[in-house]
Order: sequence, then C-alpha cells, then structure tokens
Amino acid sequence: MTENAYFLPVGGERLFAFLHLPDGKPRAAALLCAPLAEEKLWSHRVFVSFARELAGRGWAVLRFDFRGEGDSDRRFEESDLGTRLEDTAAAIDELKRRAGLSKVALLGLRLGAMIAAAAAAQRDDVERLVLWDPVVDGADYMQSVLRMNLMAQMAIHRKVVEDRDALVARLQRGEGVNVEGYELRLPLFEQVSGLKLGDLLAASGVSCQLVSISQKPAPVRDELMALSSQLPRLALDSVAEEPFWREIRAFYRGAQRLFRSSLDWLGTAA
Amino acid sequence: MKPFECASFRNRQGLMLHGMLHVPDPEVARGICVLMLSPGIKGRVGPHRLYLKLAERLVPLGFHLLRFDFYGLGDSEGELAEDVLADVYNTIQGGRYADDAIAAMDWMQGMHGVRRFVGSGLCGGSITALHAAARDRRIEALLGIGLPVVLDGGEVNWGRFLTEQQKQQARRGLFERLFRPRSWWKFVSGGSNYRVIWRVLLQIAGLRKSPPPSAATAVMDDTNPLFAPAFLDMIDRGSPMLLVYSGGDRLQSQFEEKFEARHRDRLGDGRRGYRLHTIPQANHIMSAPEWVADLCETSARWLQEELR
Repeated sequence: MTENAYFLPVGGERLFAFLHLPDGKPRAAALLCAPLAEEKLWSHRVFVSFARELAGRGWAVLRFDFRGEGDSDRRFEESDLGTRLEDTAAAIDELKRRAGLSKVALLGLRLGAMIAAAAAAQRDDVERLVLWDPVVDGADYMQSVLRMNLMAQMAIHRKVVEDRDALVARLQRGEGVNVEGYELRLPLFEQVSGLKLGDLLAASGVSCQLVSISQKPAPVRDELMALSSQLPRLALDSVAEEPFWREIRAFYRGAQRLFRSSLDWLGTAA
Repeated sequence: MKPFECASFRNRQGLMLHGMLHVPDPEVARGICVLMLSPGIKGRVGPHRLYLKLAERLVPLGFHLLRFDFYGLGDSEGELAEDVLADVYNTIQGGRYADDAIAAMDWMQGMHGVRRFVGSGLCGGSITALHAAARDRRIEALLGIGLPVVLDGGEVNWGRFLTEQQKQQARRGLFERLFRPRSWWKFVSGGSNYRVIWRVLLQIAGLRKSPPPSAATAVMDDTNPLFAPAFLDMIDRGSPMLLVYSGGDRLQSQFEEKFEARHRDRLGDGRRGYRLHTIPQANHIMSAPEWVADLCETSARWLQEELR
C-alpha cells in the first residue's frame, strides 16, 4: 500500500488530497467526503482508518479537504456549497485517473454525505454511495449549526445575546456568524438549507447504503426509514457507535461496527 | 508569501509523519523555524485552522513554520493504543511526542538547513514543545498557547484538583444555582457533580483548607512532575518564553497556583525569564476573530523582539 499527500488544482486554487493506493491494480475506487468544520477534525482519524482498510482490500481511496477547510485554499467564509461540489467533482476525476477506473464510489459523513449525494446526482460515473449518519434536511442541519453559536454565547456571556433570528438577520446583512471559530456566511447557510437528501437520492438513481449511527443499539432513524419507503433501492443499516464527529470521552481511531457494515455492503469484507 | 508545501518525513520509529511547511520569501528569511506542534486530535491545522491563521501572520516576518501530525494522529502512520481521549492527552502531557518534534527538527536541518527553532503550539502542542526543548537545545524559545501544567486523566476525580480560582467560580455558580429549579432537579435526580459541591461546602464551612503552596504539594495532585524542571531549565538557559492564556480557561490559574506559587524561591516575585499574556474572555480554542488577532499580534511582536 502506498500513501501520498499532494495538492490538486481546482479553479486556479489548490485542494489538499491524500491518496491511498493498494499494491497492484486497484479493483475499485472510493472518494471520502468529510463533514463540516470541526466535525471534520474530530472524525479525521476514522476516515484515515477506513481509507487504509479499503486500500488493504484492493481499493484506491482519495481523501481531500474542501476549500475553506483543512489545508486547502480559501478562507472558510469564502467557501459555499458550489465550491464543495466543484471540489468533489475535481476529486472524482483525479481518483478515476489515478486508479485507472471509470467509476467510483462516494462515501460521506453527515454534511459530507449530503454533498456526496448531491455530486452523484450531477454525474454518471458514481456507481455506489455510502452515507454515514447523513444530514437528511439541510435546513434542520443549519439550524443546529446556529445552535452552536448560541451555546458559545451561553458559555461566554452566560446568556444568549443574539437569538437565532438575530443571527439569521446578521447573515442576511452579509456578516458572518461565528461557529466554533469558523465564519458562516449566507451563501453556504442558504444553499445547504435548501437541500433535502431524499430529493438528491431520487435524482441520482445510484445504489446507496444509509447507515444510522447511535450510541446504543437502536432501530434505523425514522427519517432514514421514511426515505427508504420512498426509494426502495436503498440499503439501510443501524450501528452502535459513539458520535465520533464531536468531542467525546472515547478516543476513536476507527469505528469497527460501522466499518464492518459498509465493507460488507461494498462486498469487500475479508 | 509562497503557498505552503507538503512535508513528509519519518520519525525515529520509522513512521511516516505528514505535515505542511510554510517557507518565507528568501529576502526576509531569518533561518528560524517555528515548530507549530499539533494540539492532539485536531491535528496540524489546529481548531478552526488556527495554525494557518498564525502562519499567515508569522511567515511574512521571515519565519519558516512547520506543522505536522504526530504518529497515530491525523494523516500520519502509527496507531495509538488508548481508548479514552483523556489518556491520549495524558501521554502527550507526559512527553510522548517530544521525539516526533526532534525528528521534525532533524528533517528541517537536513532538508532546509534550518538549525534554530521556536517551539510552539496550542495546549498539547505547547507542552510537547517544552518537553522537546528540555531534550534538544536547538529550540531557543517557547511560544506556549494554553500551556498546561497538569496531567489529564483525572476526570473521575475532577473535584480533587480544583485551583483556588476554580473553587471561587464554583462557589459563585453554586450560589446562583440555589435559585434555579432546574438545578435542584438535577441535584435530586443524581445529575450533579457531588464531589465538587462537597469540596466547596467544606471550604465554605472552614473544615478544609488548601495546603500552602510548595513544590512538595505537586506530588499530591495532578501537576505534571516534568513541567517545572523543563520550564525552570528554559529560564536558566535564558531562553525567551511567551505564554498566552485564554481568560475563560482554567489553564492560567493552574499555571499560577500549581507552578508559580510553588516555585517563588526560584522565580522571585516577578516573571523573570518569561512573559505571560492573557486574552480576556477567550475560550480554550480562541474561537473569536478578535482573540485570534490578539494572539497573532502578540506572538508576532514577541518573536520580532526576541529572535533577531
């Protein structure tokens, strides 16, 4: 197995990419789409471990940082859904070229899952989608992002100084809302708020695994069950794992139950 | 400023570590590298890309800046055996990654001819820099951001290790909560931290006093036993140190009570050999832009004054 870190050109800027190649010719290829902002940092090692698992099974795997995040170009506030889709497209093309394959699988976590589904809906070279604890309703998700700002206000001022409406008004005035150090701006807020996972999956027609993650063994989340009833080709699973995209007590170097589920579905289990 | 470049090198165990090197323009280059060491889980970019923001301010002043993932973390090779985050932090505070920092200096010296270093980083990064400085004299200065004096891992016993400032805050908090029905519900339903409440009540009743500060008390609590020797060694060497602490964080009071107060005989009344800068209200990760600006400006000014 070989691993290479490098920059990929996209729109005159640089995208940080990390390629995992198996020994010999890859039998399949997967692009991993990270979640947003600090969720990406907390879950990073799980992505690295899964990429190595896949590469050990003959897959070529590309991980990358969306522009505005990690080591890629741009400030976070200059990035939006459009740049994220452009980055995903560039990364798919790069992966196909490096793997020598014409089709890829996309895997995403949380907002990364929604972006993977949106990218799949725009292309015909994505053959499989693996969505880990996906964001189902973009508007709900963006409200949860704003809630983090409210929690920070509580920690600093011991009260909410600007409520949710005031934060949205701030965005509409063209100002930023600080979310754990990242400046959220109106374009990303509005574009993600307009996304519904069900619509994206209906448009893509790609074979897809949805994995619901909960701390204790539990049935698949209701909202994912609802998607499944509308889109019968979806494979659903529920695994017990800690929410490793947040700060938790455990150190998560991998998520073995989650890995097993997706490796089985991808047909690569040892 | 040139864009930064990928930097991959092996540590002394042969594991490949991945990072980024920021190179200053040749006409302003000082031949000094700021080793911006990873805080831990959040890797070489730091929380909310803090390390990129620092690089943007410091590299145009002529400093190289290297940031990389330690083994077992980020993109780097290796695996950690710990299952609990506090245990990972504990090993970092104990110096687990000092050798990785030394390997980074070896690589910088071999590949780029840089022999002078400033050890830096947030939290786990800064304590790693201090450990590395104790072992390798190429580190001439320390820029510690939220430098921890204690060892993590005492979470089940958290109330035992409160500083006086933390106890005062806890007293204020307890008094405010007396008037909140939700707090009473939490108390009777088993959701409160009874150890902290008990300790504060004992103090209020005058039944328990904190031991007088001395170096000997360090062995009775969660103070990192390796901290004082390494820090005092830096002072003895005349190595400049700037400590930047967040006002909303416990780390400064720990530094004052668990290090400064216990080593008055060596330190005197002033802060001989080091400077301390507090960013009021800031949280541990310095998430507000004005806190980041304060950190960047303070660091830039200090580096220019101390490292010519």
